[in-house]
Amino acid sequence: MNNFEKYVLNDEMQEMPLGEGEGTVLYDPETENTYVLDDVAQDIIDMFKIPSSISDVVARLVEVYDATEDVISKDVTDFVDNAINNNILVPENTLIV
Amino acid sequence: MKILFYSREKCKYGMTLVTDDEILWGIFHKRYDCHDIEATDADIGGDFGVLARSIFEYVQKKFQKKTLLYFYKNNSGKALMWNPDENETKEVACDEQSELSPIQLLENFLYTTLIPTDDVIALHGAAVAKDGKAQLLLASTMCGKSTLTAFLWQEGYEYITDDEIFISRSTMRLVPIRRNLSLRQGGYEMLGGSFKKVHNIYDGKTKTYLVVPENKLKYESYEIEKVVFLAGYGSDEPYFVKLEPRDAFLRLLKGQLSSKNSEGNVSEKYSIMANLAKISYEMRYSDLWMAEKFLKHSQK
Repeated sequence: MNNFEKYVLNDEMQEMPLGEGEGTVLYDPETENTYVLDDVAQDIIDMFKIPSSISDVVARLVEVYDATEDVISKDVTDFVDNAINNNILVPENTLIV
Repeated sequence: MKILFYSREKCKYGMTLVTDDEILWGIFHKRYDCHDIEATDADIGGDFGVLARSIFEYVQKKFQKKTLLYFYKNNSGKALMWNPDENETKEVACDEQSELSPIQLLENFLYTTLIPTDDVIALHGAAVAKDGKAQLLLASTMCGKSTLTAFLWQEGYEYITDDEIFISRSTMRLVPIRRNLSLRQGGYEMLGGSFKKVHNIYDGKTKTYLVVPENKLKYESYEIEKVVFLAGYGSDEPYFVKLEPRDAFLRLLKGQLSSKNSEGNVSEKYSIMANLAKISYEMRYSDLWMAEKFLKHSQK
């Protein structure tokens, strides 16, 4: 995983928003796992609805959140790493069979 | 030996009890609306597996329902349980003096296999209503949920349920399936015993009171106005607060009646829960009148 590789939200995931700024619920029908995300995680996931890199997402979040770029970059990297491991995010152009 | 079948509305299984224990039979009969099934001694004296299968087929044909089977012979020290989907007999030691009494085992067995039909989702909790709008009261055991429900009923709310809440997947409205309201001794005595039709149940250890609703429900379904998680009662600072939807959603997940989530469309169920999470509150009250005031003043 590098900061410039593009990822996208796995389109098999089913999403149930909890309201404006309240977070969201993701359900993976293949694994039957459920993920309940807070508003910040939801913002990040929303950005990956189009293919994006970690750098893209960090650049946008720096404009919104009151934290340093290093802190945001670390948080986003950790989040994306976790999301990839759980198949929430997949590399761009991944063929889902 | 008697055979009783409980059909259990909006659930995929019913429960058939086979027993010669008069107390167990009496409690089951009072708690649930049952059908008597005729049987001969020859049917009951044989192999349990054969008996279970025979009863299962009979019930399925007559009531169009799958059934669990619970067999208890008085003073035998063990209960036999059969689940049609597992098709094997489970034997559990029990006696009336221990924590695992025959009635408790029966209730546990019934509870753990409560799987709602595909058209509803099921939550553990109570529901009352006013003017067609339902308020769901969710709480863990011993939080005073049934006592509060009974009190609200006395205060003019419509009593719907004190245990199982069924919500239509298509309309997101509460589908009222009523059962008698069960009160422990403390709750019943607190309310002054003002209900007209009450069955006393004593299982050898504890006394409970089954309050029987006499009036019919006014509506076929109810709009859900709010979900209230009860944080208990007592002398601590009372409050009534709106929950963060994320917190409420996680609590609703835990409040499901069945742990078997694969029934029906899961994302559809989660959409309903996400909507319920947006109208969820938590309440702690110092007395029943305060609880009623909180609920009344928060109504639209």
